[in-house]
Amino acid sequence: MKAFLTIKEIKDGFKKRQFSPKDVLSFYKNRIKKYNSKLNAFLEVFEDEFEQESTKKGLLENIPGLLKDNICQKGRITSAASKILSNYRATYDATIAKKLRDEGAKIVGRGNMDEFAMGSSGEYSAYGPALNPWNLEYSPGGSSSGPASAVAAGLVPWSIGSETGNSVRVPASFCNLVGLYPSYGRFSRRGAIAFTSSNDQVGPLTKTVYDNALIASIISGHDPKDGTSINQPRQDFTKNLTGNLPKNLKIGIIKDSLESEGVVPEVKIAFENTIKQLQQMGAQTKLVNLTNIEYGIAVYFVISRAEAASNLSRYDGSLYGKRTQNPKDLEEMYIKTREEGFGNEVKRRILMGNYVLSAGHKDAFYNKAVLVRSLLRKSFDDIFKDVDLLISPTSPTLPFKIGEAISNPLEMYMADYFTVPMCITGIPAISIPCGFSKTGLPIGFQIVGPRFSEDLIYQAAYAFEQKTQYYLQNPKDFE
Amino acid sequence: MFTFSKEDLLKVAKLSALKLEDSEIEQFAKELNQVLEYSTVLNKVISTEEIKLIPFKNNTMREDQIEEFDSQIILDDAPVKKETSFVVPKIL
Repeated sequence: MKAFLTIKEIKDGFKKRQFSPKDVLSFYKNRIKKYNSKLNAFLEVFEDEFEQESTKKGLLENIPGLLKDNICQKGRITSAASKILSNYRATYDATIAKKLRDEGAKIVGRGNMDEFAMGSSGEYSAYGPALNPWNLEYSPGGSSSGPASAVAAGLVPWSIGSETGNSVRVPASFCNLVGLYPSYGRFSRRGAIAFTSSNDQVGPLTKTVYDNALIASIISGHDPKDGTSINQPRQDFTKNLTGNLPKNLKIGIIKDSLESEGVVPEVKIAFENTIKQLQQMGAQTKLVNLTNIEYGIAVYFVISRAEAASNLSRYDGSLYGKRTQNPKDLEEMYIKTREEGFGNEVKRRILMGNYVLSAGHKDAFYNKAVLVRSLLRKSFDDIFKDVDLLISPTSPTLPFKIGEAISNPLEMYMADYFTVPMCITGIPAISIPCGFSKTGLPIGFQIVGPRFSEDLIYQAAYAFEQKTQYYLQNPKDFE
Repeated sequence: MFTFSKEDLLKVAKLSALKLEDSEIEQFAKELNQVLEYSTVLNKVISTEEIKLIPFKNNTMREDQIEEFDSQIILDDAPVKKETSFVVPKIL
């Protein structure tokens, strides 16, 4: 077997009897064994999953994948890369885990991440950072660091991450992968550990658009056990992947992509080439001004921290997870458990969240952020009356060097400029590869659409991918 | 001008059930001040429009049905348990 096969190629190989399910399982088992110690992408490898073939038939039969460590797998540790949940065994399966297994998928581990998905580089994991297979001195992006690193290195052909501000799309962009942030409510979140409930969504990470659309199709559909799940049946997002853009497609270019000084030159060049490519493929493009986009980061700061403070108040050592040793009373149990269990970034966010919600500050911060969020949503609604899709670089920067980004948190947060607006407004966006830097680091751009436009987004992304074929390039040291 | 002081930090730490080491206080106050100060940019936005502030979802209802669930596996996650109960330090 060759390394870096896509899901589609593995399925074709099964059909043509080029290899058996047993071959595939032992192939990936060996690759993980060989490379994970370099990458720290898996927090745990489920060795037992490689021992037997899938008992279910379906679209992912005997195809191994990885879930981020904040998605519950019954009976397995699910720690959100935090010490406070280091001994927590999930008591039920996340709905998406079940849907994937019902299609025969082999879920072979849990992926590294920033603690509670709070971070952009994976370095806030309590278990050490995952590294970028394209260059081990660099971050694979966060917070879905492990799921991205594992797919990029060919340790699994697909993974599921989660995103609240950038956490699937930025890792996709930093690792030459495809990553989707779906419409709010498109995929069930039951069993995904909450961080910012009004933004959090799970999303697939894959090498190709087809594979991504296939995973998205499997995990779509209504879940009565998730009150935010939309009441729509499962969809097949692979059926419109024609290789062509729809006729008369109008694409808006988010103005800051070309005009902001924050976009580094190499990203700008790759993005300009992307625009030319899309024009050659028949798209009409125009620069658009997204009113209030410059407030996206501030809105995200306030809302995400407020909701994090509230969501993480449940970790107090009483019902599950770690508890401090021999607390003298209840209050000491709460305080010491949290002090010992949470890392600094999580503490910072809880502190800020409770501040912006507290009496005297709520109007200036939280209420204002909710208002500006709604204004931004209106900006998107207005723009989508004029264009079908929007594009921008996924990240204004190249991948971060390990150690550099976390030394200046505000700067790292600013790198979410282009991804945060979709999360706070609940609209879908996909990051796909669009080039490399001179030093060989991947660059991605994003295609954004109105709510529930995943079909159109996938169609456009697939057409671009088929013309450019960056997915054929793989990190050299992992052949 | 906006400032987030050490006193603000200590007050909010208490609200958050978090205790900070002396060595952390200076650093946290500085970092949080930076992010909060940046966020005051929101006060520049003045909207005269009527804006709908509710999220995109309507309320979702379902039947309140009992499902079988093995309570033992939940208790297995308890830091301290006794028979079928969770044990916490004495409250009164």
